[in-house]
Amino acid sequence: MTTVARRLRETLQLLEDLVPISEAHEQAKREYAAALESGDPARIAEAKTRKDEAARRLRETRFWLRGENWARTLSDVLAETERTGAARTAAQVRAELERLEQRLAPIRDALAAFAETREGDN
Amino acid sequence: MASGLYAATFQDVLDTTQLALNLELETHRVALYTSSRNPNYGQDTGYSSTNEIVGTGYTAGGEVLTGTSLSITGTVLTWDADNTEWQNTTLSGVRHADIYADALTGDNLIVGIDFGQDYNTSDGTLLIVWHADGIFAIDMSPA
Repeated sequence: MTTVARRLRETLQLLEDLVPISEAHEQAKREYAAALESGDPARIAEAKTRKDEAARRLRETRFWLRGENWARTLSDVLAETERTGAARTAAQVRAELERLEQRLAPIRDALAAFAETREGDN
Repeated sequence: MASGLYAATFQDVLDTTQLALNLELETHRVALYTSSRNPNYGQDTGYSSTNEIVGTGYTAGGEVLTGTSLSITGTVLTWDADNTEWQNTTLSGVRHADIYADALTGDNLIVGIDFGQDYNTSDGTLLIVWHADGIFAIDMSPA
């Protein structure tokens, strides 16, 4: 499988995975609103924790999806600016791409480790 | 133009006004504007149709912002949502977006985004992909 095809497949998989994450977050928001209505401090605290965790998971997934998309765009822009000889612009784009790649690297590693675990289960 | 948070709204949330801005609602809207929109992030208060985009596939007032989330990572508070899109549009000169609280009486402005350049569509989709770091993020304890 080519790199592009693999990336597309991974992105599609992530998009599919995003749906239940998004639904879980919506559910957690509804449960928190209901807990607030109840006035029960323990129930409120528990629902708040669940909502915060769901929001964090959603945020991390969105960061990965958009970050990978942005990294691909920057790579294309970098190739174009280097081709046209816009050295200063190329340096700026390369610096932004490097910063983004550094943030994406641990997520990619975690996903790769997760994929290996899944393959080991099958 | 620039992007920014509308300070008057956040002042009203934090002071005696106690404006009931709930960033987790699914009723906030994204309105589009031409480059003639000149936001004043210190003084503008509510949604305005002045300089709003007019064209096929776009209705005044904008599109609903779905999938809103407010999360904390470390000391960073992040507001985010699903990407926003308008399908089957023919629009020209789209340069700026305002997100505002449609559920509040004052249609209070939350955040403005400058796209940096004009965008056009021709019987196509206008898609706003929010930044990888969210619509906005505030580090409550920056190093």
